Amino acid sequence: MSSGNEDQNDQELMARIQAGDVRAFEMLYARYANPLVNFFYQMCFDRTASEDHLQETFMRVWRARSTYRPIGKVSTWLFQIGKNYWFNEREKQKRRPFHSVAGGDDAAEQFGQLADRRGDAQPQDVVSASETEKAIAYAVSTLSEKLRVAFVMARYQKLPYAEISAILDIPVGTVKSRVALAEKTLRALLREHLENNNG
Amino acid sequence: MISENPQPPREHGDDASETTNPLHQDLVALEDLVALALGALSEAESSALQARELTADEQAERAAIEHHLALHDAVPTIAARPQTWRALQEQLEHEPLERPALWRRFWMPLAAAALVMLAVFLPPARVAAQRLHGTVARTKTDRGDRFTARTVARIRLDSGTVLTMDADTQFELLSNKRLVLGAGRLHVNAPPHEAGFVVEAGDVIVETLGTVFSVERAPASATGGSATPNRASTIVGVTRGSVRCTAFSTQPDGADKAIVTVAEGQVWSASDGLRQGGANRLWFSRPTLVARIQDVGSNPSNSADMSDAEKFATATITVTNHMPDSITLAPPTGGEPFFFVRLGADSSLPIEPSTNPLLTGPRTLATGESFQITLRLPRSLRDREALLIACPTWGVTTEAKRK
Repeated sequence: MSSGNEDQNDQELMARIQAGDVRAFEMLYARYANPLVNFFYQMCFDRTASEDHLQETFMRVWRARSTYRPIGKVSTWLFQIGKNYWFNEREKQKRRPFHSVAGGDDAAEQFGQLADRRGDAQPQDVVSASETEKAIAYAVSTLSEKLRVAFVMARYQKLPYAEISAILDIPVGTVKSRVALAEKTLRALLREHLENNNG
Repeated sequence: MISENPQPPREHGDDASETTNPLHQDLVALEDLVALALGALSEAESSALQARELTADEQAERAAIEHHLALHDAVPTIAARPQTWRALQEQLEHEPLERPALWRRFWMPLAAAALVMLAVFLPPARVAAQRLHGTVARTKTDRGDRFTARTVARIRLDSGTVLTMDADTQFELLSNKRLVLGAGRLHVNAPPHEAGFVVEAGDVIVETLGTVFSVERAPASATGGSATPNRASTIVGVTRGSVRCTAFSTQPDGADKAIVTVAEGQVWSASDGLRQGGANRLWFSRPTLVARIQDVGSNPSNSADMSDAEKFATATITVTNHMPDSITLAPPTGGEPFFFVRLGADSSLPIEPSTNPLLTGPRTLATGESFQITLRLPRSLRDREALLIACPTWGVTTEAKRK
């Protein structure tokens, strides 16, 4: 996610943030807002919700700034907070009687709304929702939560396996196998989608 | 699994001429490349692959896979909008710069926990109760006070609720608003502002809604080992107002749980249900007796020429009907004695009334009406400070104290 220099800068930023420097916090936000908001977006395909998640994640970062220890990368720590927040929110949603959860039967509906949701985006953010993109979005949304997180971090966020391992607190081998399984599942889904389209 | 000629990494649109569907082209390449790295490898090969560093070729291959997985910039991405940071800034303005000290963050939960501990472990405050009449023993328990009535007795709680107990009634007073009836008959007169007074009688809970009502609960020995001794033995009658009765289930599926509102004049029991009328018959069918022993020396019938055996003391017993209805007191049948003086646990002395209006026939007493009976006592009892006088006919016992 960041080079050695950037990481050193991150550490300096964190030191200033721990001293209550809001300007440093803004700089950290500017650096990691897009990776994090995209992580959430690629998990739920909902722009508004993703930005809410981003805001809440950074709020937690601010509140937890005193607990940060410079033994790992700042980006890893940020993604850990984001991941924990995501899983907590998902658990809350599942406990609600009428919850909306991506995946399963709801996935198709969410996938169908993908293009509409992009209507909220700024012109420079809009990516055309091609058939291919829709197919992938749908396929990804049907993955289980664990596989989806690993896949999004590895393939979309392009985080190294070692960093994903630290974020998810699982062995590197498990990260690889989850990503592999996600890809295998995606292949099957995409092939089915293709056949349906051709049929 | 692996195609004979693996496709090299291609840019989106390069192979558009090969097939009519670009997605199909992507997937063909994707399938081959992913299978190469994942699907076609055995578990051992996969483990070996993970254990070693990728060669330059393999890295290129992996890059190709990733490229195709992304399906040519098809990764859905957005950019965080400026308003998100502004919203975060606003939130930060309300956030304290320094986290409060630990004790400040937790003092409220700690105080609440301390209060709960106090409530649980401190002995309950004793409920003020004034005895109006009758003989009732009061003993301290872990939860409150146990009242055991030897005679018909009446007490008033400082909340204004008046409890009248039949003889041999026993209950535990937990608070001004709650008691647990062990056995016997209890008459509750709860003023309107005392709505919510609760009587627990086994599995039945009676809650007043500003009411005068009675609860009768048979002692455990009277239920003969019934499967539902508590429910079956509890009867509730309402004279004024209404009460809500909850009979908890005795079955695992909760099928027989009942919540019933008993209105004025109605009687309810879990076994017989609700019925109209008869509420007053639940009240104590016996009068309360108040007795006093008159001074022996003042007895005009005693004279100096009488032997000690001929002299007698007297006790006057006042019979009062405290019940809502009139009652009829019948004379004893078959010449059985009216009263006994209990001299000990196993000995009783029968005594005859010196004036006995009951002997001529039944006597009806209206609510609040009273009459007196004078008992002729052996002179040997004249020095007693108190006597326990029983009337088996009416099923009551009263303690007579020297005036």
